[in-house]
Amino acid sequence: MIITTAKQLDNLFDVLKEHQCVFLIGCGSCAAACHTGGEEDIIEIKKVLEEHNKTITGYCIPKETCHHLLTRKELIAHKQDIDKSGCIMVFSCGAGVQAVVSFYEDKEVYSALDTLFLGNVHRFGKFSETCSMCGQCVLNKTGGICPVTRCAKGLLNGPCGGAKNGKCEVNPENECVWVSIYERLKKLGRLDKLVQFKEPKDYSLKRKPFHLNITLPKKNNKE
Amino acid sequence: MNTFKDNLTKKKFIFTAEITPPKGTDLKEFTETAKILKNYVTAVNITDNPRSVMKLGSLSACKILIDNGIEPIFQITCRDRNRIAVQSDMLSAWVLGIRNMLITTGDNVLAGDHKSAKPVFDVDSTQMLYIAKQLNLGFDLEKNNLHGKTNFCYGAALNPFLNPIELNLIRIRQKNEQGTSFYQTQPIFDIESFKSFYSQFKGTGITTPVLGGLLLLKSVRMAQFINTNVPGINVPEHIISEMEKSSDPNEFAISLTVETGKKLKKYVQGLHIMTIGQENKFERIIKEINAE
Repeated sequence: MIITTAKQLDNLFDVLKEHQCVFLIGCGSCAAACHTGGEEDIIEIKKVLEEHNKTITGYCIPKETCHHLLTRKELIAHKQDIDKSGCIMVFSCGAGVQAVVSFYEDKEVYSALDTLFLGNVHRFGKFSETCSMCGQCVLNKTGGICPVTRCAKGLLNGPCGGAKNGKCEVNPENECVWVSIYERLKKLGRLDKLVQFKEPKDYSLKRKPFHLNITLPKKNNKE
Repeated sequence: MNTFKDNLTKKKFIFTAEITPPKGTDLKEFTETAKILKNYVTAVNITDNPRSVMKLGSLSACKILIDNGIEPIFQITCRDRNRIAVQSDMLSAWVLGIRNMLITTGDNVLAGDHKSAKPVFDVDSTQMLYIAKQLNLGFDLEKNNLHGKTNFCYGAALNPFLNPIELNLIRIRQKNEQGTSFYQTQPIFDIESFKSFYSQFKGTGITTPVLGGLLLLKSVRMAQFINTNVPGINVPEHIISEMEKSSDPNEFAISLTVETGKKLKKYVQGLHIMTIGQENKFERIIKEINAE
């Protein structure tokens, strides 16, 4: 899940200062789960903006705002309200915002959220980052625990010298992930993986911007 | 000529010290400190933006030491350089006459004065040791031939108090496999804990020389500051408490450094003494450690 957090209200008022009429777009997927872009959240922010004399021409919550086809369908359904607005404010991750941007050449689209990380959901409201989507997964070498993401320095060959009592130098609230990796590999009887030298990562595998086109195999009609 | 390397090879007991370059371009204090240390040590480490506080670069500061007849140990971290910059800086160091390097990860940027900086860590310290090994063999990281190779004596940092010990020893073994010629440890205050580490370290069969770290405390406040703000160093609470009770904290700190140094001498091949602004006490410390 993509974890988002709401920008400060002052920030929203600042970008909206030149606009009176605003259309709001949430996201029924990740942002809804983060309580930053679901229907309740959009109604709440609508109220706040109206209290500050803004006119909200309408709102919609695409099922997944990053999904161009689903979002386009919602935008068509709300065309009239969107046309009445001077700008659109999107309450989704950056991918969702840019999906909306791609449909409007002459209307300003603003992001109301900051996109933080790809997160695991432990329970409602408790998320943690465990994968950086680095394009070169090392989990098979590290007992299934990712040092690229969970070591504050992203080190591949063991801990730095800064850990204290098994806690991370950067944020002592976090475990040193290398201690966790060591403990897991020890339990599995695979400390040999820890000894193995890991070469520097190949960043050419993480091209920006990344595009992926999957070609499905053609179905054989005779079968 | 590389006296530091020669002394390591000949198993001579070595003293090293360290200086942090200035924040700015005024070299007066830096060169004065270097000239004091010159009389007592084989080589002087030049730190690389320690604690992520932006300073004059360690590379140019090492060159200034060479110009003053002092052998430098160029400290290089992977925090601020990608693999291209790491290799390029190592080659630059070599042509400037720098022959020794201490290769470390580097403190996190949040500990320093540019907290919003992007930490690089494109390679880690073990991978940097591998890079140094490659440059000495005449290749870069991508196995391209170099026109002129290096012949660095390169070492790594060692934290004797990093636990679990088994993980620490695996880490040291990894570094050793990359041709590490020496280790310099974090400051040691608790000799009993060090002895416990050292017996297990010896048990691995690694014979690479270790230079034990000593840090001359200035005050109780400094000790507390270190514990809160300096990653990887810990002044035990009982030492802070004894220093607090002492009628002469400065004298207490000198005695502590000397006594720890004397005890450490039995185990290590050298001492790396950090006096941080108290270089006027360096002569006394070395003389008293050597006395017996």
